[in-house]
Amino acid sequence: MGDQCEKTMRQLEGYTDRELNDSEVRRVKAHLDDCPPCEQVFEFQAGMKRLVRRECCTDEAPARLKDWVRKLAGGSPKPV
Amino acid sequence: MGAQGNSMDSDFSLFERHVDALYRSALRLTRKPEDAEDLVQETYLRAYRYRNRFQPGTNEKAWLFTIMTNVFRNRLRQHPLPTDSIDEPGTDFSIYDQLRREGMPVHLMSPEEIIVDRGFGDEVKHALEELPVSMRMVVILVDVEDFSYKDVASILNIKIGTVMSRLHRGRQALQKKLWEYSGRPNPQVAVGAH
Repeated sequence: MGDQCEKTMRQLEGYTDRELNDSEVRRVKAHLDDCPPCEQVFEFQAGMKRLVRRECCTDEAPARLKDWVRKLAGGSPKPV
Repeated sequence: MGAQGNSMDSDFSLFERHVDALYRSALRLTRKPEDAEDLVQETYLRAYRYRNRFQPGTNEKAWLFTIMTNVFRNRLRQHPLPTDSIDEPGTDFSIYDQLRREGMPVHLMSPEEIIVDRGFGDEVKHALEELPVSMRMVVILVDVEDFSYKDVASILNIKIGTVMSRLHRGRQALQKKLWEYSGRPNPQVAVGAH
């Protein structure tokens, strides 16, 4: 594993989470375009993130809780 | 939906739209629908009580999550979970490395195929719920609720470096749980990537 690979692995989470600055993004992106093994690790990591999000976004608040919040927001004394 | 016209109430109505996000996160934190509902109610009551402290134009979702995670942590302090470890030591683990070691064509498989096709589904939620609370909160806030590291640091009142290390360890721990659920052999300790 080369220097660029190691550096990319260290920044991969930041890249996946869109937390890198522009020049870091360009560097990681250029390396991923060039290095299939690193690209595969990235694809997997990004897929895991999508999976967690998709699986955990399915619960909706119960209707009675939503009603309660709506009443609090609309029916209570006006904020000063 | 809740905001009607330009009444002064529209300030608070702004908070209403986050009820689903707060509830699903509360559910991952408390693991029980009735406790989650109670946590969300207390969050909104406090938000209402302190609504004048909210600065219009700032991120109201982050403000609500700050309140909720504080309420939750206070409750935990009063009634600690018997099984929660404060900060599990990190073990390097990734499903990707495991599968590679088994000679699986990982580059041809997505996590969705690997995890969902093996009968996973609710397992992702359960695996998340089993993480130590400190890691679980960070994974929820970043991966599910899409907050930036900076927002999470502010919500939980921790340093950005702490956000990053908890996120990293939390994600690895999550993968390890999913791996265990799949009934596969004990994970081997990872020795570097490719």
